[in-house]
Amino acid sequence: MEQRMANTWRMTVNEKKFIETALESGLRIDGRRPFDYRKLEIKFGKDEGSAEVHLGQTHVMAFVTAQLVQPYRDRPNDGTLSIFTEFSPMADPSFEPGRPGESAVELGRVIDRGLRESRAVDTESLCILSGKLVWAIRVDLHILDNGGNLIDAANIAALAGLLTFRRPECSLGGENGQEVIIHPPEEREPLHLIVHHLPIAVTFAFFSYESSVVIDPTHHEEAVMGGRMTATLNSNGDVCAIQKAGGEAILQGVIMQCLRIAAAKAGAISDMIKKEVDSYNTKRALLKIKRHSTPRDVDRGASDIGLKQNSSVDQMRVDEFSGHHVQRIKQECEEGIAKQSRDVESETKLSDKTQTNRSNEDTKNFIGGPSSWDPYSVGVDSDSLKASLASQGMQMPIEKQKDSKGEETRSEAKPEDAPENNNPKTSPLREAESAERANGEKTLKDAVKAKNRKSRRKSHSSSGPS
Amino acid sequence: MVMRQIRAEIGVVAKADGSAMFEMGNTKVVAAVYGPREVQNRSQQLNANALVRCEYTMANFSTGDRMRKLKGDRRSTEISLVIRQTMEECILTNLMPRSQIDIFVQVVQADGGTLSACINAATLALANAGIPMRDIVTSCSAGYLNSTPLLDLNYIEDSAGGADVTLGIMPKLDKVTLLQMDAKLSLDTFENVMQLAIEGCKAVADYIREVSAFHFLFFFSNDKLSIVDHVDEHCLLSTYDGYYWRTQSNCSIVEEHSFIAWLATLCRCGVLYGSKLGSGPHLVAVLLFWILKIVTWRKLVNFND
Repeated sequence: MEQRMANTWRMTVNEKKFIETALESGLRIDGRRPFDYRKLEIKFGKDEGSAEVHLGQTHVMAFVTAQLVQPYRDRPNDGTLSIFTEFSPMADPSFEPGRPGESAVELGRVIDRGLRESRAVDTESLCILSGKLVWAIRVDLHILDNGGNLIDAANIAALAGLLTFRRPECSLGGENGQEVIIHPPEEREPLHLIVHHLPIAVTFAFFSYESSVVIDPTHHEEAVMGGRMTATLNSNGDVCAIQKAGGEAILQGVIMQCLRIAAAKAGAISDMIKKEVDSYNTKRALLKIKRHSTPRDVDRGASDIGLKQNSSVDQMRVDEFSGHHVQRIKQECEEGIAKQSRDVESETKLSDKTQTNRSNEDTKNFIGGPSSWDPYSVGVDSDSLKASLASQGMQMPIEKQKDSKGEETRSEAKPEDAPENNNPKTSPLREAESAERANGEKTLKDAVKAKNRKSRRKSHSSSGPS
Repeated sequence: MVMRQIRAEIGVVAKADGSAMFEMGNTKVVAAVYGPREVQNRSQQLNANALVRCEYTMANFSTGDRMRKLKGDRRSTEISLVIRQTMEECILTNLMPRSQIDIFVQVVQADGGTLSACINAATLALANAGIPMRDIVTSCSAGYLNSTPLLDLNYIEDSAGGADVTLGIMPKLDKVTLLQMDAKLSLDTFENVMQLAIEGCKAVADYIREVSAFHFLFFFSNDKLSIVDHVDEHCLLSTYDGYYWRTQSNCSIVEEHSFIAWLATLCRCGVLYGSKLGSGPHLVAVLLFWILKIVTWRKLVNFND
């Protein structure tokens, strides 16, 4: 209810009249047409799940974090998703630090409704122990620069963050399978969140003269506008949420027309977001491949010192897997391998489902990205799977989730890739196997010596295009 | 396709300038309006318009389980903002610069559709306070469950996970002020649901007008009252004791009783100021007024069926 009018920047009458008159002839002050969006840039930060969006002058950051909590009593099998907004005072002189003001609360709730009520993020997959432990996903939105149309920019940032966020994998252990072990990212690949569809918010501003409607109002246009409507749609043409909180009254026909325009815009923006997220994931997967050539030595050192907890276990697993991967290549399918590895890994007490996941994941690590404990996987990596390396890095979490859970939007392209990859995989693997047998000793020594490592990296890149 | 039973009462809070109680089925809401009065916080004073403030609260006992500390939470803040902006649109704020109008809405019983009931109650309270308005704002909610559009959802239907569309319109101008929707709907389904909600709003509007006329004609001892009226496209008339009064030739509270309503307005003014004219005209006005009351009472009371 507080309106800090003293801090508000007031527009002069001349500016107001100028904007209104220009709109009558269909011109906007920044040269856009009425239904054009400003330039959209999405960048990702160092942490997973952090995204930065520039929509013209508006600058918003999103951070996604996860925590294990107790679920609500009436929804024992669902994880939770909560949105918190912070309107930083540096964004706008009318933002006060401390308690979120009305517009901050409204923004948070509009985005929350768009994501939660439309079931964009799958909350059932966030459940670990029904009724006791679930993942609570928290999205923090920070507004850094208010150039107008905060809702759209914050929505895009939240979606980008949620798509790139990975939560640590956890497995059940303990005496009766009630203890939850959270695996650190070095040990187990973290998992993506399951996002069914992307609800995109499109904001319309209404002006009293000539009943003009524009999309994506700037800060100046927002000061002049009579009313605003935010429509959240996904690319399938479903309306996920609408928020028109009072303001200028408009005809029903105008509303339907706006929704149709919003459907078109939502499709375009969701394509852009997916493209950015995919390129980010590709880059990240490539980075990961290179990174894993080094932690092996780190691991060796650590195991000597005895810092790593699972080092002894790793050593055991090394022996098992070295025998395993030979058989695996002959098998040509991952499920067979999973069964074998499961038999051997009887030491760990796991439920069947998570066990399949884990072994799948271990084999996945083995195929797509060498894990720290496998000395032979380096050879595999250097020679094989270069053509599908990028997609493999992303494909693995999807395949694993596909086995155990539902669908995922990102995997729509991947299932086609997966069967293709299985076949070409096997032949390079055979070559890789022979190569690595020959180079087995050499690769270990190479790891210690810096210069050889670099030459090995060159062979990486040389065999890249192949 | 049918709404829940609606019931409205005007003048429930004696101290307030205007107040109303609105019931939609089991949802019961009380609205109180204070204003126009002097701005309490000078820094928030607007020099060209009236400042409209709104506060939405739910009583602890309004839902099934007793709730704790709900006043400052995010949902209440958002709903307060929504109601404020909706009512601000229909109040002629430029007629009352440097003043403040407070709308307080309290949910006494919550059974779905609280936002709609709040807006309807606020409209009635503002009319009761005699604040000039462009048009009344009526609101109704509609939803979509099991491939059926439903009108006026209650709590169980609302929490079933289907869509929930709350719509607020200005019936005479036929324009949409408030539109809130959650859950997923395809575009065509949404259009159907919105159409249904608009019809519901129009039904509420008819009822509100009847209640205002009813109240006016029966509780004429209440000095401040206003007639919801459509004079020309954007201006609404209100008779407002002590400040100003006006009669216009086309005054219509309830469409079919237009002539009677006009006559009633005339008589009402005559009754109030007739004593200055002399006892003769005054008596005539009072007699005529009572006759009109009896005649229209029979027609109005049938609505509640």
